[in-house]
Amino acid sequence: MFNFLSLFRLDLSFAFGFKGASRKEIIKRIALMALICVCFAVPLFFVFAILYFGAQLSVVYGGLAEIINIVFFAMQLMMIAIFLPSYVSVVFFSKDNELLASLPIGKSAIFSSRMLTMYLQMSAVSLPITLIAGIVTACGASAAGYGVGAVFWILLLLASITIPIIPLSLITLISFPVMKFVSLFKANSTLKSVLILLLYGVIMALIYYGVVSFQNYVNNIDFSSDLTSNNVIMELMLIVTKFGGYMYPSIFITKAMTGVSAGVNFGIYAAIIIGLIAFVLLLSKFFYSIRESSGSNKKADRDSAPQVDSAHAHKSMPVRLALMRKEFLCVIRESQLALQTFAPIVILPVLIVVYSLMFGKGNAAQATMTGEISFFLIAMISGVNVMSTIAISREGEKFALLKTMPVTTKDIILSKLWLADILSVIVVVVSVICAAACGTFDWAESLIALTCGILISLGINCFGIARDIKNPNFRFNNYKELVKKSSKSLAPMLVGLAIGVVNMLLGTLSLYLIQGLSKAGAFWLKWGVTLALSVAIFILFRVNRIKRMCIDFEKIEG
Amino acid sequence: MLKISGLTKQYKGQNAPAVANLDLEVRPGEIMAFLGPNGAGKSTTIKCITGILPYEIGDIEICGYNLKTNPIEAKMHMGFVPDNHVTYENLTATDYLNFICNIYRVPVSERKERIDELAELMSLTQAMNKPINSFSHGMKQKVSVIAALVHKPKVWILDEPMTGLDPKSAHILKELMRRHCEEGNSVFFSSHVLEVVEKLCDRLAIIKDGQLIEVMSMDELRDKKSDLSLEEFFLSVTDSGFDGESYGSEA
Repeated sequence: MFNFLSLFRLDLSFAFGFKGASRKEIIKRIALMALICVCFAVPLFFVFAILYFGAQLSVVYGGLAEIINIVFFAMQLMMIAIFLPSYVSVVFFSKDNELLASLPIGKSAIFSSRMLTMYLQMSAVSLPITLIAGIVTACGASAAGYGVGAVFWILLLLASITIPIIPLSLITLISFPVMKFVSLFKANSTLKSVLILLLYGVIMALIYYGVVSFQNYVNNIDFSSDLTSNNVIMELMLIVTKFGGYMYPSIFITKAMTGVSAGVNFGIYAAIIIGLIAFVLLLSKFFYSIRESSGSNKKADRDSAPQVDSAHAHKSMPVRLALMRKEFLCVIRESQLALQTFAPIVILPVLIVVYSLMFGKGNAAQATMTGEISFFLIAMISGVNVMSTIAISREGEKFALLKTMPVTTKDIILSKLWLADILSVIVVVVSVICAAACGTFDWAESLIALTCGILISLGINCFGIARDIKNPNFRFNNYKELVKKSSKSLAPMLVGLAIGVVNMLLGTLSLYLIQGLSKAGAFWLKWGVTLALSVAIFILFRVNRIKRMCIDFEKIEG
Repeated sequence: MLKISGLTKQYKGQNAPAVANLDLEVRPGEIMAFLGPNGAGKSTTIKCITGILPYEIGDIEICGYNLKTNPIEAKMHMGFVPDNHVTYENLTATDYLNFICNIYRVPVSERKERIDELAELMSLTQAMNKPINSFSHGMKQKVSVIAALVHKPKVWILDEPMTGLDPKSAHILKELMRRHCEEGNSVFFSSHVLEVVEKLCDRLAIIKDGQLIEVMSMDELRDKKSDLSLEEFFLSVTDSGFDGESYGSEA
C-alpha cells in the first residue's frame, strides 16, 4: 500500500505537469488552460443550448433521461478519442517501466496507480461538462414545469464521478488484446507504429459508423416543413429516445436520475461500474507485464529483428534531407511518439466527417454551424503539431551530438520545420477534402479553408519550434511526459483555437445578428476576416523568424 | 591540429568560471590525455571544443579553422565519441552511419568500404542492420567509435572512452587510437583509467578547478618523477590529500 501511494503521488505530479516546474511555469500553464477552456466554451455553448431546449421538449414528449444520456455518451466517446493515445503510452510504452521492474513494487500497484492517475485526468475534463449538462437539463426541464428532486442532484454528482470509468475500462478491454497482437511485431518498430495508428483509425471509424447510423434515421425526417411543427419535433424526440436509450451503460444512471425505476436502474449501473473495475483489475493481473513493456530483453529483440537489406542504405543525400530523413525515422520508429505525432491525420478527418453527417446541411443555420465546426477543428488541430512543439526537446541527450556535427543551425531548424510543415499540410488537405466530400464546404469554402488552414499551421509550426528553442527540455522519462509537461503545446493550440472561435462567432453573427447582409456579404465577412487573421499569423510567426531562431539555438547549452 | 587559446567558460548563475584561461595544443601524430578530478572542468572543456557549449572568451582552432567563425569546417575535421555513447537509437547501425556519412559528406563510393572495415574491426558486422536500441552498452559504444572515425577526421576527441567496454573492445579501441596517430592525426581524450593513460598517451594535461595545472609528455614525467606512478603523480598535483607516499607504507 505504501509503495502504491508513493508511486501514485509521483504519477499524479507528472500527469498534472507540475513536477519540477517553476512557480512561473505553473501559473503560465494554468492561465493557458483557462484560456483554452474559454475557447471551448463557445462551441459547448451551442451544445448546451440545444440540450436546454431538448430538455424542455422532453418534458412534453418524453425522453429526458435519453437526452442527458446522449451528452454523457458523446463525452465518453470524446474521452476515448482523446485519451487512447495517452493510455497506450502510459501503460505500454512508459520509459520508467524498466526502472519500476527492478523495484519492490508489484505490477498491480503500478497498474492501479496508472489507472487512477488516468481516471483523474479524464475526470478533470468530464466532471465540469457532466455537471453543467445536468444543471442545464434541470433548468430546461424546470422551465417546462418539471422540477427535479434531490435524487437527481445526488445521482448527477455520482454520475459525474463514475462516468470516466466506462471509457477507461473500454480502452483497457480493447488495448490489452490489441497490444498483445502488436507486440508480435516489436522487432519491426515502424510496422508496430503503423499498426497502432491503424487500430486507432479503426476505433475512430467505428465511432463514425455509429454516427452515420444515427444520421440515417435523422435523414428520414422531413425538415422542409416548419422546424417547430409537432410532427417534426415528435420524430426528432422519438429518434433521440431510441438512440439515447441504447447508449449503455450510462442510460441506467440517467434513468435513475430522472426517477424512472430509480432503485433498480441505479443498482444495475452500480453493479456494472463495480464489475468493470473488477474485470479490468483481473485482466491486468493476468495480462499486464511490466517486463514486456520495459523492453529489457535486448538480446532477444536484437536476434529477432529482421535483417534489413543494406545494399540501398549507402545513398548520398543533401544534408537537410538527411536530417529530415533521420528525424522522420526517429519519430515513426518510436511508437509512443508516432502515435502522438500522427494521430491528428487519423482523428481530424474522422471528426469532420462525424460532425458533417451529424448536423448535415438541412437548413442555412445547420450548414453554417457544420462548416464552422469543421473549420474550428481544422484550426485547432493545426495548433497541435507535436512534430513542432517538441522539435528540439525530443532530441533529449542527442542534442549534444547534433551540436558536434558539421551542419549549420539553419539546416537543423529548417529540417525540423519542413518536416512539421509536411505533416500539417497533409492533415489540412485530407480534412478539407473530407469536408468537401461530405458537402460541408463548397469549392470556394474548400479553397479558403485550405489556404487558411495551411497558413495557420505553417505559422504555428514556426511558433512552436521557436518556443521550444527558447526553453528546451532535454530531461524527460517518456515522450508523453515531454508533450504534456510544459505550456509549449498549449500556446500554439490556443492560437489555432482562437482563429477557429473567431470564424465561428462571425458565422453566427452574420447569420443571425447582422440585418440586410447578403449571402456573399456573410461569406466574405466570415472568411475574409479568417483569411486576414491567418495571413497575419503566418507573417507574425513565420516571416523573418529563422534568423532569430538560429541565434537562440546557438545559446542552448544542453 | 587542435589549439585552445585563453578558453574561459562560465555557466549562468555561477560565481566562478568552470574553465578559466585555458591554453592547450595537440600536435599532429600525438595522443594527449586530459585528466582531472571530478568537477575540474574536463567535460566543459571537451564540450566547448566539440561545439556543444558556446563560450564567450578564448579561441579554439581545429586544423586551423576557428570554431566560432568557421564552425562547419572545424567540425568536419573532428570526430567525437561522447561518454554516454549517445546515438539515434531508433535507427539501425547502418542507417545511422549512413546518416553520419551524409552529414560529413563522405563520398558514396568510399562509405560502404569504410563502414564495413570499421564494423569488421569492432566485431559489429552481424549487428549492423539491427536497430541500435537493441544493442548492449558496449555495442553502442562501438557504433559511436565507428561514427567518429568513418569520415577520417584529423582530430579524434573521446570523452571517457573506456567506460563500459569489455577488455577486448578496450584493447581494440586503444589500437585504433594508436593507428589513428600513426597516420599523422591526433587524439585527445579524457579518462579516469590512469593505467591506460600511462601506456597509451604521448602527452598529458591535468586540469583542476578550471585551470590547467600540468602539461607534460610521458617521457618528461618518467624522467622527473621516476619514483611516482602516474596515479601517484596525479594525486599529488591535484592535492587530493596525497603526499606522494604509497598507501599502507606506515603499516
